[in-house]
Amino acid sequence: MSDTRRDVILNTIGFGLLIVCFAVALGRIAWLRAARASAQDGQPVVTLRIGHWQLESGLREAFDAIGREFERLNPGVRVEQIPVPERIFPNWLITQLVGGTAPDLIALGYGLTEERLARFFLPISDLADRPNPWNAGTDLEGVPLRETFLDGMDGGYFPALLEFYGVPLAVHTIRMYYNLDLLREITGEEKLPATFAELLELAKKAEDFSRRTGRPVIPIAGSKYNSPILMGRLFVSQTEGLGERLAYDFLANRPSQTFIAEGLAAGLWSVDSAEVRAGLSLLRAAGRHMQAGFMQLMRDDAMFYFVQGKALMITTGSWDVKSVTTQVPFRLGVGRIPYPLPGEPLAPYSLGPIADPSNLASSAFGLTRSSKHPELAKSLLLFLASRRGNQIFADHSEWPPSVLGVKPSKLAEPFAPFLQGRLGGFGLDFSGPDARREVNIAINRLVSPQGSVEAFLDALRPGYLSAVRADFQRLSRSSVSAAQRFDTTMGALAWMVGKDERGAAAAARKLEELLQTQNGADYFSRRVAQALQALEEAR
Amino acid sequence: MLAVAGPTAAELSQKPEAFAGWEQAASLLVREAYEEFLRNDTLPTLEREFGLGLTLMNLQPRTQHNLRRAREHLEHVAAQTEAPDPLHALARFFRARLLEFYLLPPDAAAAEAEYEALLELRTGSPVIEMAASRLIMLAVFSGAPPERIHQRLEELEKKRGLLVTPAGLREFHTTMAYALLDTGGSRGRAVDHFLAADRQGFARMASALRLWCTAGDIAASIGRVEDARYFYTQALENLPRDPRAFTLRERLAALPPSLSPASSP
Repeated sequence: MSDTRRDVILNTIGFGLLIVCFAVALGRIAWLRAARASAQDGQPVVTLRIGHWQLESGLREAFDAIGREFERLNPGVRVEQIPVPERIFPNWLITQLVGGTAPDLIALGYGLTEERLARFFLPISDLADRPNPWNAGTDLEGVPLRETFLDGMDGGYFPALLEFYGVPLAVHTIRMYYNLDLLREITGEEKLPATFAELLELAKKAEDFSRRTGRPVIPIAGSKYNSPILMGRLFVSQTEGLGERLAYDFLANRPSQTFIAEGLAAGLWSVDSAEVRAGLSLLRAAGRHMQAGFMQLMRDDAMFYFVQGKALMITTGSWDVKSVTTQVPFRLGVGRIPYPLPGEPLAPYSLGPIADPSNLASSAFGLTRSSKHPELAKSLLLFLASRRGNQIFADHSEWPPSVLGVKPSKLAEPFAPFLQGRLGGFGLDFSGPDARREVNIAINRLVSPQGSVEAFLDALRPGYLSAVRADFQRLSRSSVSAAQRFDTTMGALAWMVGKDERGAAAAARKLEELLQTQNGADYFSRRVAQALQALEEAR
Repeated sequence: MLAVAGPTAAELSQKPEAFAGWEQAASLLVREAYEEFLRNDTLPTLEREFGLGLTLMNLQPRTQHNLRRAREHLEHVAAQTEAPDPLHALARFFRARLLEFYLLPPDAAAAEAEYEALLELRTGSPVIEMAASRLIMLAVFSGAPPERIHQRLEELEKKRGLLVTPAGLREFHTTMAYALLDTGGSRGRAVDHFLAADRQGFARMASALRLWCTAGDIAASIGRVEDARYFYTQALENLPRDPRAFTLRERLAALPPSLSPASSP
């Protein structure tokens, strides 16, 4: 057979196969459509879509379970989820929103500015003030939606827009995760440390164990994501008293940035203050037990050490609990981070136990304006926010629930917010990203074996004040802009109140909230300008 | 509340587009609102011009050219109307805002004079009553010596008599309390202002909590035990799950027992 003839036969076979595949695909689509239509007695199926970036274990199962339950309760409705990787979520989101093809419900957070929220999402403040119909038959029946959340639904409120836009699904907290099998090997028991001194003692035992056995064991797996969580809270355990002395409104407005900045400019405190040095000593004590160069590592690197059994402890949030549990070949222990208590060595300025920094619910979902079925989408959103929906979510995701009366799963129990403590003081990065960058650049001089508090301060001192000043220049611009932005809204609402009978009540409520918010924002912007002037004069 | 001139409710129900621009402006959609006011020639001329002035204040990019145009629109509306037409006072109020907070260089003296005059109109509008708070801020952040600021704050205390709306009163008292604290004024008077603000009620619990915490601490610091107890208790009763609750309970427990009758509401 000649080469030409063989080529013709092969091409014909290939083309024929392509035609067959296309015909089969076309037939399957037609069959599925017919099957769906007949399943609903000829009624078309309505599809609702949920978009999110939460790819942790259990999350897709949770949304699937909620979808199936909602479908069961609403024949003719299909619920689909679109999980999108975190890194590409912002780009995907804006493409979908601008193109008018966005899912009905979307996780709020990444890639959303307030302007985008106002433009592409529907406010749900009217729903927040009404009972959730999906709570009928429970003790939450008749209770306004916002009051059915542990945090009063604050996690779904956007102060700059004066509206609720989301229903939050979980209340996340940070804890210390332990490899219990390794803990038993090292200490002969499974007792989690209760004090900071015990934590350091355990870390030392892990290092001794590693030396003795030749088995590499990192006491605490660190990264530029995990470590600042632990170190930031350790540091503020020493600066609360200082903060209270600098700012008369410290409890109310922590970290009371303007007073702290003015105090810095006036020499009332500095990076050499005793409280700052005490906080840095705690950081060094903890950081010495993390792997070398941890601030250059990513979150996944630290997690890899832990799940591979090469690290005894890691600090992370409740969002990781199911992923970690399903990945690790050992028994997992979870406990509150033992921050230093008054009287502990290295912590002379501790005023009391340190609480979780917030009880705000997060992982909120909002309703897009482009939804083709807004009433059904609203119903699905309310189902997510109901006791039944949140229970399904909590059971499958193992995340701590956000709705009153929902039982956390066994795994989520240790993550219940701890509020029997203080919030602590302020960090060296109180002013913003420039100060944070200066601290991060110098941090290796604090936590490396040959490092020290002195070496860290020698590196930090030269650029710290100018970094705080740069942060305040940015803060001054943004705070003025925020206060100005409210003026147009205020004027529009003032005009609408009493004129638009359809929206007068809503406009009056928004105006009342706005007047309070705007007055505070205006005052704050002037305080920031004053603090900036003090920082400029302190050159 | 503003008594509003313009189309009746029946007219509006036939013309729902009459509110499109206002709804967009109220939702931070400034560009859309501005274009709607430009496009919608069914709106009364002065209302439309007021809308253009308001939106030009925050149209991005915020240029001095746009701000000057905003000022022209607002000045024209103010000149073409008279009190008690609510447009008159609103246009003057936002013109004053432009003068003190937007245009370069700011003209604090002109804004101050305008705010004083607006308060004398006694409009009964909570927005116009914010002029009293702005006068306090202009005084506190004027850069004048403390004794001059305190003298000015004394004068401004009298503006309270011109205010009638709960929001106007609450913001006046709150701003005055912080002004006294920030300028080393009387802590006792600051506590009195916090109490007066609290009597007006709050729309946002987050703002209320901040006030109760600060007011409680200031009252405790000068030995006004019952007032401190009142503020701390308010905070705890309204927001028992707030992360500050532990500290508030500690501070409440640390207050000495009462020796005199409560002076708080």
